[in-house]
Formats: sequence, structure tokens, C-alpha cells
Amino acid sequence: MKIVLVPLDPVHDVAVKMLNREFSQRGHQTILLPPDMKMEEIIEVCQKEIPDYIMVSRTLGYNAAELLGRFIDLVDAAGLRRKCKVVVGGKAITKELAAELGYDAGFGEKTRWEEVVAYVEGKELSEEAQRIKKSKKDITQQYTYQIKDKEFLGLLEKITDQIIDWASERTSPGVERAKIREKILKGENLWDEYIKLCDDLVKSYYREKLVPKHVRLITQEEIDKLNELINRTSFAPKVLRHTTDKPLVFVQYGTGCPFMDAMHIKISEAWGADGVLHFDPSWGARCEGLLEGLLAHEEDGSIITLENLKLIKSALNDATLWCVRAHRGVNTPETVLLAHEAGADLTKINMVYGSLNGGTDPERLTVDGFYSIKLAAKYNMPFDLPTNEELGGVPAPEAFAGMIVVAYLGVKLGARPILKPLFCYSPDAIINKYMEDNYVDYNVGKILALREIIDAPIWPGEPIGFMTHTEDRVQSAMTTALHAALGKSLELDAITVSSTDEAYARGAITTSARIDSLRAIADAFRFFGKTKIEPTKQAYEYAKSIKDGIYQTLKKVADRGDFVASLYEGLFGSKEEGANPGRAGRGTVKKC
Amino acid sequence: MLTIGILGTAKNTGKTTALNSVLKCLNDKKIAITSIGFDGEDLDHVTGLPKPKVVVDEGTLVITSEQAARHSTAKLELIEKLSLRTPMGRICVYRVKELGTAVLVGPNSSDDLFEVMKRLGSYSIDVLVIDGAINRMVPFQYADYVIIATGAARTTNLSELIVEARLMVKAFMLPEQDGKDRVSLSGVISVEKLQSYLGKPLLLESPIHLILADNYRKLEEQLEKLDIAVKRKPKLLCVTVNPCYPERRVEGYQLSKIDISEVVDALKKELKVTCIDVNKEENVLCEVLQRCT
Repeated sequence: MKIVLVPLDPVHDVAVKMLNREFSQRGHQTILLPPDMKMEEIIEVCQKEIPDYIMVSRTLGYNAAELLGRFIDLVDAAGLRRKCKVVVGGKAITKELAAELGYDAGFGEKTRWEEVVAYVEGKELSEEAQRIKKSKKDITQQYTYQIKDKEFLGLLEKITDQIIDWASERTSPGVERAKIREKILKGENLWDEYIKLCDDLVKSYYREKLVPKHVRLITQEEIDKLNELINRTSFAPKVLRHTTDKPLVFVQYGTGCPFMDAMHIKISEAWGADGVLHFDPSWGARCEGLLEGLLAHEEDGSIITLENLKLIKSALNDATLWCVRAHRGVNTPETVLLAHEAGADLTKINMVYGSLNGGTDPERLTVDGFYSIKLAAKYNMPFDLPTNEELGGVPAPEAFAGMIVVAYLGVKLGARPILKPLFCYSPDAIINKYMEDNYVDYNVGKILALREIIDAPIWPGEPIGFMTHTEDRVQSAMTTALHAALGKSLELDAITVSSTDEAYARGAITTSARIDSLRAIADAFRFFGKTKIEPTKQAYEYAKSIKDGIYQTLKKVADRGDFVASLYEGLFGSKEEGANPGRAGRGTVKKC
Repeated sequence: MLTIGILGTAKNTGKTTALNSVLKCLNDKKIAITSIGFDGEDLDHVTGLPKPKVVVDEGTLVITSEQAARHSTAKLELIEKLSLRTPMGRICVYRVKELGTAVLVGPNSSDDLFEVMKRLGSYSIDVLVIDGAINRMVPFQYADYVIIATGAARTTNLSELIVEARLMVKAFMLPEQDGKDRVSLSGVISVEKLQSYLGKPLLLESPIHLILADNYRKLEEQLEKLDIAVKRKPKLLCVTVNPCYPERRVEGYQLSKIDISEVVDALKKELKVTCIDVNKEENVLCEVLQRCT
């Protein structure tokens, strides 16, 4: 084919130059004209060449319709209209406008050159090939969970053996409820037994139909509307990563309203999120027993009921990974059970964080966590281990020691743990000036230290950039994107990101603020591609001291010979450092 | 069969409004209707503002493409499929069975329009009305009559608007071929090209080939000095001026209006051409149409 390429624009000619490259490489004869030529001159060239195609590109929107109208009139007046196909493309173009003006074809913004080549060569571009396909990925798959350092292995064996021995002969109302619920799910009617093990608030919900304050039942009409809305929601899948496979990007939701959650999820999916995390309300973690039915409430976090979870599941895309957190409260085992029942891919369990910063009694949560990890193993659900006690002031090495103990316990119980160090500007880092120069070295140090100890997936959160965000949304998107780029540079498996108003929303966060972050991250990934962020020497020194700190903590706990006592006594973080053993569920553990 | 084209100087200059008025004025005639662009859509493709609809009465022939016919509310009966194609399917001839709106996507080049006109010769039609597309005009070179639709949407600078309308009117007033020995120029005529023929009598294809030039002030100067005739020309019926225009605001476009009487007065005074605000003076348009049909 003979093709005249015309940038009908004062300056913009990148698109026609790309097409020139592609067409000439494919053996077509091209004539590339410079920008800002007079239309009459362009027509003269076309009259001389009589090309098969005249391809006009227009970027600027000003007057585009009239300008292109005049151009096609000139082509017509010159008698070329039947001899050449006339095609228009560019930012200012829509297919409709091209048709209205009488062009043979129009290519709008975001057209790929493949589409134009296929048009000229008369080939069909298959819809299938054009579509991005997203599928669920198991980030734990490639890891061996091998402890790389023998000294660490010895300590971890000793600590986890003690936990297993101790916890195996204990139970709690949380564990018992999970066992009853498992039977209920299989069809047995054991609600009376279940309710006996619940707090008054839950008892009166079941027995007297008293709905807790601020909680309300969702109506059938609302459910129908939501289903209709979700059915109407469709979008092309989007991938945030540019040229790398890692990291997956997760967002967290928990507005209190399952409907709002569903729409937040749809918007996050549309803008490229790979997974979502369900956050439950803090009161739900302190109150024995779970409610049932579709429930909304005006507080932070969305109520865990099987019905709520199933509603959320119905809104999720097939490719979206779903984590339901269970880690910290007196309903942990049951939450893992319901998460599995509703179809969750992942859960979240860490009794060290849950009892030191999550408000649950260490003895109780050790028993419940132990059973929960066994359930996670049984249901083949990987679980992640947050270390958010670092935000309360606990130094990273101590928080990491707790995480590694629970992770190794998970491995021994046949589960697949995921490490979740924080990428944050933590109180400990502020006080000790670890981040005086940059936010890179200390975060890199954390990852290097963990990788020297265990071969396990790493997913910083929750969310990345914690304590570096401000009320300024541009700033928040920027710092999230930079932390995401660091995660990508370190080839981490996943990251959890916040919306740009998450820290300061003073209520439910907004969807536009979610989009801010996801867009910023996509650009950070585009900017860095496969390049690496280079830390200073300091990062390696931090790695060494963090690893050493973890070792010292593990050694103290191993020497103490009692995991639960170590939690109470501050070996994983003292009260002065900000670790406060919780009280919810204290005194409820029984020997089997 | 007479053909009347409605030639706009830009988007939103009131082509469809003029078209609807023409249809009303000619309601006692056998009418066919088509468009060289895309007509009758709900919203403008650029501004997103609502657009006037083309309303067709029972018995009218509608020449439009297959997909466009499906989007019309008027009940259309397929009479004939033509060989011409558009991005919205083949162009067909339909007859209106029941009054309603029509979406028009017709022949978009001179050659295609010419073919449609030839084909319609076999139908007993009094008038074929052809709606324009944005600022396109070349396909109208074969029409018998044109109405020029201009207005604030072209430019809100009224003196510019007057210069442009005046030049277009002058071009349509050029004489037809008169037997004089002339240099014949085909195709596109730029101002520079004309300059080089100063002093020679010229023969152009049509006035439209002349007004495709982009420097109207200079072209007007040259028209004074040159002796030009045209091979064929549609007769100019009238100029309609639309005071409404889409005004760009931060939040998008909105429909605004300016006082356009200065333009109407200037054209009436300087050139003896009928010039009307089509929103107000439909009766004047009807009188003009009565005279030519």
C-alpha cells in the first residue's frame, strides 16, 4: 500500500511517525509529511502521489471538527475522494466525528498502532488478543519456607514446639464456637449451643431480635438494587504493573456498609487493584460471637456475617484476590471458617500483633490463633501476618520476631504464611533517626533481614507509606507511589495501598481518593520499569542490626520457654515501647 | 427534481433548524431528504449538547444508511438499497409511513451524492433536501440551490462573520460560463494560485472550490481584481444566521446567545441577499422557497 501520513497539527507528529515506522517495516510505501503544512500543499502532494491511504492525525481539540471538515472538502474538490481512502486519528477524534465528517475511518485516543495496521491490511484484530486477561495468582507458590540460618532454626523449633504442646491441650469459647459453626454449616441445628457461648449483645440479637445500636438490617429492595448495579458495572481489566510481574496491589475496604464496600471494590478493580482486604469493626473483635444476616452499621469496619461476606463475594471479579482478616479478636477461628465458606482466598492471623496491639488477651489469642492457623491449613488458605505493633512503637526487630515465630508455627501446621513487614515511618524509626535522610534504607534493611532468615513471600502493608501521608491528596498519592516503586524494586510479592484520604477522611473514604493512589502507582511502575532503587550502605547495616535484633528477641523467648508468658512479660515488645497485652477474652481459656 | 443543500460554516450554525423549516415550508411538495454527514443524533459529538431532531412527515423519502434508519422514530419502509456504503451500513431509500424523527447518514462525497441524485431521478420527487455536515460544502457543487447557515457558532467576532458571509455570497454571485476564452483551473484553488493568474480571465469548477481557501480577506481583495466565471454553481437561496452557540466553560459546554442583528443588517444592506434569523423569520424562508419551486 502507498500511504501518505499527515500530522494536521502545528507540532504533534509522534503518532504518524510511529505509524511510519510500522508501515515501512511491513513493506508499505510511506510518505511522511512534516507538521504545520498548509492543507493546499498536502493536497498537492496527494495529487502527485495518488496514495491508497491518506492518514491524517490531529491532537489539538481546538476547531478540530471544522479543520478536518475543510480537509476532506479539499480532498473531494481535488477529485481524490474516490481514489484514496481518507483516515483520521488522534486525541481530538472520535469514531462518530470521523463518520460525521465523511472520513473512511476514525481512530481515537488510546488507539494502538496494531489497530491501524490491521485496518490498512484488512485484517481483523481479534477481540481476544486485545483484551487484558487477569487471573488469580498464588504468591506463596514459589517459596520453600526454609529457615536459612541454623541458629534461627534451633530457636524457632524450640519456641513453636512449646506453643504446639501448650495450645494442643487448650480450648476457648472462640475455638468451641468455630467447631459448632462448622457443624451448623454442615446442616446440624446447634444454634442454642452456639448462643450460649456468646456475649449478651449477640445473645439478645438471636433470642430477642434486638439489633445492636448503630446496626441495621439491609432490606431486600436494597439487595436487589445492589445486584442490579453490580450487573450493570462492566469495565476492561487493567493491570497496574508495567513490565514486571510483581507486586500485586491490594486495597483494603471496610466502610461499615457492604454496599459501599462492593462499589469501592468495583472501582478499585476498574483502576487495576489485584486484590482486596476485608476489615471488620473493632467491636466485633472484642465481642464473643458473630451476628448473622445482611447488616450495615455506622462505624469503621464491615460486620462479619456469612451473609455479608457472600454479598461481597458476589461483587468480586473472578480474578480479584480476597483476604478476610481474622487476626486479632475473640472470633478469629470462626472468621477463618466463614471466610473459607464465603470463598475467600486469603486470611490474616497474627496472635502477637493481635494480643499486643489488637486488644485481645495473649493467652486467649494464642489458643484461638493456633486453631485458626490449623483451619487455614485445612482450607488451603494462605494467611498473612501483619506487624502493625510497630506503629504502636514496638521496634521492628521485636515485631518481626513475633511474625517469624507465628510464620514458622504456620509452616509446621501445614499452612502457608505471608510476611507483612510495614513500609512506614514508625515511631521507633523517628525516635532513633533511622529515616533522617531517606525512607528507603530502613525499609530495604527490613526486607534484606527477613530474606536472610526465611524463604517466604513478603507483602508489605498495611498500607505502605504509613505515617508518611498527609491531608494533601497529591502528597499522599506521591508517597504511596514511591513506596510502591520501592516494593517493585525489591521484587516483593504484593503491597497494600491506602486511598489518598484514608488517614484523614474522618469517616468513610472516597472512591476518587482510591483512584488517586492507583493511578499514581501505575505511573510509578511505568516510570521505573525494571530499574532498581539503589539504597545507601546504611541499608545493609540496618539489615544486620534488624536481623540481630530478631535473633536476640527469639533467644529471650526461647530461653523463657513459654510463648504466652513472653507476650505478657514484654519480650516481643514492652509496655514502655508501646506493646500492651490486651484484655478481651482474658480468663476464658480452658484445658481440654 | 430540484435539489437544495444546506451548507453550514461550522458546527451548530443552525443547519438542522433551517432544514426543519424548509421541510415545513415545502409540505405541499413531494420531498426526499438526506445528509452528507450525520444528522439527527441526540447529542453533539463534540460538545455533548442536545441537538435539534430532524422531523419527517408521512410520504417523505428518506435516504439514509441501514443503522441510522433503525435509530429513527419515524416508521420507515425500505424501498431500495443503493450500492453506496457508509460506516453505518448501506445507503437505502425509505418512505416514511408515519411521522417521526429521522437519523440521516447519507452520501458523504460529491461523487456519492451525485449518484444518489441520479438514482432519485426515477422517483417522482419535487425537491431533494440535503443537510450539510459541520462546515463541509464541496458535495453541494452539484446542487441546484444552497442555503448558507452561519452564525455565532462559527465565530462570535461579528466583523469576521460578516467578512466571511459576504465573501461566500459574492462567490455564489460569480457568473456562469459565458463563452469567453478563459484559463480553466480545476481542483483546489489557493489564494496564492489565484495571485499568479492576475489579469487573466479564469474559469473555476464552482464557487465552492473558491471558498475552500482559508484567507477570506485576501480572497475578497482578489475577487475585486479578477475576472472569474464558474462551470457550475448552485444558486444561493438565502443566508440564515443563528445567534446561539456552544460556549466553552470550565464545567463543559453550555448554549449561549448573542445579538446577531448587526450581521443580518450588514448582509442585507451590502449584498442584495435574503438574510434571516431562522428562529424568528421562517415565513421569509417559505416565501423564498415558494419562488424557486
